[in-house]
Amino acid sequence: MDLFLQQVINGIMVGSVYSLVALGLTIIYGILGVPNFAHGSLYMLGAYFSFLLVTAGGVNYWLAILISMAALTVIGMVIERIVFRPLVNAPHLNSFIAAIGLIYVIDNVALIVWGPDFKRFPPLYDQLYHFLGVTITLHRIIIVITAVVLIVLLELFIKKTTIGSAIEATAQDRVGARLSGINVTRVDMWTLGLGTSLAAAAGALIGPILLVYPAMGGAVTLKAFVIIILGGMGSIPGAILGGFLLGLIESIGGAYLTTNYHEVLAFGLLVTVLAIKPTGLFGKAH
Amino acid sequence: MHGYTDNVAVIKQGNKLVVKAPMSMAFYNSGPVDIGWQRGYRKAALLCGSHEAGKMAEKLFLAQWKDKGGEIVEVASIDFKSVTDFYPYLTKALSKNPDCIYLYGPSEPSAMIVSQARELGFKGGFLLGSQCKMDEMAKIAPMEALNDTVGVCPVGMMPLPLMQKYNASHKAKFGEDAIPTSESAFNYEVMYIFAEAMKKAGTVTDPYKIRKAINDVLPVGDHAIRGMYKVTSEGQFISGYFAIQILDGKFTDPINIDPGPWYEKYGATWMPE
Repeated sequence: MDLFLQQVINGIMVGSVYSLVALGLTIIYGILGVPNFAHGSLYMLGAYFSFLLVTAGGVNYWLAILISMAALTVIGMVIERIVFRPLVNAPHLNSFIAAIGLIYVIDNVALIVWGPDFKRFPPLYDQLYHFLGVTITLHRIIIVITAVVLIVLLELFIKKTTIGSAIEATAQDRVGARLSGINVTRVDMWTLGLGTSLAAAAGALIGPILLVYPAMGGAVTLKAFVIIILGGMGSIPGAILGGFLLGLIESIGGAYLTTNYHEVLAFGLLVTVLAIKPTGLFGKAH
Repeated sequence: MHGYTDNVAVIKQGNKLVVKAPMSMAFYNSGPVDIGWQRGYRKAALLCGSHEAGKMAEKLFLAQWKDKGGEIVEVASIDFKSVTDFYPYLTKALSKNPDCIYLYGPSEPSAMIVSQARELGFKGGFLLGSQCKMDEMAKIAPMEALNDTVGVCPVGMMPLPLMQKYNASHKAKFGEDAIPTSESAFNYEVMYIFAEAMKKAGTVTDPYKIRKAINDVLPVGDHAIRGMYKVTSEGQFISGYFAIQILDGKFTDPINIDPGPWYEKYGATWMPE
């Protein structure tokens, strides 16, 4: 086994999932200005929905991902409507606290409904491939390809569609967007729906190689925040690059230094970048 | 007072009223360590949780494996709350070519580690600490992946007639899927021991007398499901213990391990520095 190459592949796989989660988080932050701490909990819901559709519903895995994404889009929109919209004109801190409160609500509902047990997907794509001393399962290849496809689709959606342009305009200048006739309240709702569907896709993609359980969102939320601060809050390229960077640093750093401190490496990178460029890699000063 | 733990610290405090039913983690480890050694494993990698018990398991295994003359090729500590993928840990550990991997952590993630290690081509064995419940792991990982693992025998599979009776009534009451745990079995038996000791001591208010009477009521007849037959002066109950292996895709017969000699050699409170 080639240690370096294998860790690069491991890092890219985890990085692609990190990127997806961070992308959702960063576009939500870019539009609403709210750090949605409950993003990881929505990722967990995405994993559960697809798990249940596949196991209890007998639905095809790809269809299950699409249904989970659609369901979470709706849930995201509902959350915007009933949690964040009433707080638009309140002090910023209120939305922060509401987002933290959401974690408890979602995680505990999951705990009550599905119990604390770990669930495992039935085997889906566990064929193994060996090349250049590297081992990879088909599912891991699928994760990376799907994540990249989703990232490209998101970029096209933002650049090529009217809704996408409205989102981009609102992110650039909320007042300006409103003046040119964009319904920014509706943009808020679409954005939370869109961002949440990306979290759902990430959860549904990684579910089969991990376990599905109510607390699974906590770890990715923290990492997604590291990524978007690293990449620059609200920056799409920052979230993509940051996600892959973090995945690679964790696995390669773990291989040559010690796996015990892979989180020290991740946060060390964050501190270093912020010391040199306080707005993050792609962040703009306000 | 019953402290349910395999950590010897509770009976080291010197409280004469504390007793504990689970035996020490070092003793539980000794089964898989001995069997692994007999299989010819010499190079071990450790993947233990970073929780307190995981750290203790790591310390004990290091001492026990080195004591045998074995070599430790990798020690990785896993924070099960924050890990997203075990591949990076396993890639590093497997690059050191271990003969066996010692695991200590929750059963389900441990089962995932086993599955993923097999994906990465690991052919060696797994020695499991007491937190890894093999019957629960078998629900997550396929039996072929679990081949060549050795760990503590799940209580439901222990070949003790009273335990089997308890197992059957537990299943009748809570359903086929409800696996009786060490926790429920030990606490069930301790409750009866306390009740019998109260009868024997003729008091429900003098805890010292009750504690003194415990040795006289052991084992507690039909309720001695785990067969606790002695309590040491430090407060450690001694009972039967079995290790079990998975070979050729099947659970083997449980292997009876007498705690007597081990406790004579190390005592009830042994903990390496």
